[in-house]
Amino acid sequence: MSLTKVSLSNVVLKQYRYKLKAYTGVFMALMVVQVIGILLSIAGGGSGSFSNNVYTLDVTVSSSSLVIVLTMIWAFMNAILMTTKSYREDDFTFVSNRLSYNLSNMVFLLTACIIGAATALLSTGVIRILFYLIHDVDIFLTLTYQVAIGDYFAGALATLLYILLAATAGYLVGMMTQFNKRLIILLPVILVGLNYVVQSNANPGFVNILKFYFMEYSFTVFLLKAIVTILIGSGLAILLSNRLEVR
Amino acid sequence: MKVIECEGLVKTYGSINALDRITFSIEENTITGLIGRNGAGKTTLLKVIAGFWRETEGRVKVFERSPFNNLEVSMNSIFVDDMMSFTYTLNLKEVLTEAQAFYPNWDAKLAEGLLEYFNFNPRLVHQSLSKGKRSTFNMIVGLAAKCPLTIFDEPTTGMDAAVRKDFYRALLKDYLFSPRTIIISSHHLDEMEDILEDILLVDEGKKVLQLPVDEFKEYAVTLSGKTAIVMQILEDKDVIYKRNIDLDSCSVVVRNNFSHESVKRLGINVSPVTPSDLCVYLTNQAKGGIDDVFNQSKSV
Repeated sequence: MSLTKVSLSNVVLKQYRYKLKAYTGVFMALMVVQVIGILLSIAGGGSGSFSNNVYTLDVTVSSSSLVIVLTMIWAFMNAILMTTKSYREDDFTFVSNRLSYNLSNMVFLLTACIIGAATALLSTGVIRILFYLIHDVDIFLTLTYQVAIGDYFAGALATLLYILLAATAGYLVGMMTQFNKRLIILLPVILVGLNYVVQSNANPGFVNILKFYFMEYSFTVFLLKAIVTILIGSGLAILLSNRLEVR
Repeated sequence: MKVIECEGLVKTYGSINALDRITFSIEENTITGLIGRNGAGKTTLLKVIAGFWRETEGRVKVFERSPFNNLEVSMNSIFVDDMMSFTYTLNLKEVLTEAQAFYPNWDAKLAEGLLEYFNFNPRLVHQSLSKGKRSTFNMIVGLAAKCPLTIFDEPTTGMDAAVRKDFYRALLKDYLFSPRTIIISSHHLDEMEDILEDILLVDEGKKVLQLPVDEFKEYAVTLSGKTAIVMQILEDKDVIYKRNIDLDSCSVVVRNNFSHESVKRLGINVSPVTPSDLCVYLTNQAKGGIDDVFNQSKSV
């Protein structure tokens, strides 16, 4: 029987297709998470009241921020799940090596995150309509002018990058714990411990890390930070798992 | 062509050598039985060959490539055991369709035929199957993949006698139809000695013997007769195992490398040893048998 030649991209593509069919649970979870997010957004919503003794102005603000945050948590958890033994064994039942396993996981996560980001952004519309129907609103204000199409695009890309950052973090953490089970306990200890050590008045510890990504006002710089972080995280995960023994 | 070559292969877990400098090779298009006691290192050896585990020391080549992390080795080999994992979101039929996408030689007709023959409900998921059914399904995947290197690690776990018989027959038929290199590790040597061509006997991570089955069957004989006479002629023989020794009569398993006539003339009965018995004798760690454990505890 003659040997079959293979290319990495060919196998990655096959594994990716397989994952789209097999990991339907990921998308079910996304739906549940976003429906919860939408319901919570309608129930909550920031509100304020202004008065100058003549007029009283009640303002209720609705946004899809909560849905996006929940989607980030979903991405983080799913990325961890995909590094677990049972998912890995599914892959190595058929043709795979560690690189193709990682690459197909990442392409799948990218796909899932794009879908997650798109539906999270689209939930804005759903939230507005439901908000209008449920709450007693007199005047419904939305930003229409002054927001160029480019701004919408930037917002969508930023949303996607935040979700991808969460997925990358999950994937790396997941791989680290697969590499050594003791890291499940050690990682939080190290993170909290380091935070305690570097904390001071001038440097409030990990708030800085969050600031690093969430408080960046320049879109280009944020783009750079996010993409570089995602690439480094993915590269580390591939390196870590390249020696992993399977099955 | 040699499909598998191992040279001084070592695999360690902590301080234990699961494989201890094992050296052997397996030719293309042969069926080899990998035989050994529990914990002899069979599964470890097969997983290193399949590229799942990394060797600690020594050299292992599959299709002249190092198997660990090698996509070509993964593409051209399949490892079947009772721990094979299939996603719970796809049913049996869909799993077979997915497998077809991965393996270029996949025989869909064979897979479907076997699925029907063994009375599988194609809409079930793998996790809901019984142990024996699961093994049977894994076997179907292993056969239908038609990989140039097909590895079965204890494929008959949980199968009943009838299914085991069918499995051996299906394996042999399929092998004749499309020859490939097959390795089977199993405890049921007596059941499969008819389909095997070679036997690779391992013990404590080392190779004990690698012989064609025909030679293996002739490898040793049992001498039985009066103790006094048998003991006399043992001097120039390689004794493998002594059993049933008492004052009156005894039987001893020895290497079959002498003329039987001279022994028979002394009134000693020469009888063949079945391969499965021989494997047990060759890999017996402690002298004596399980009876000694009970005899000892009684005498204390």
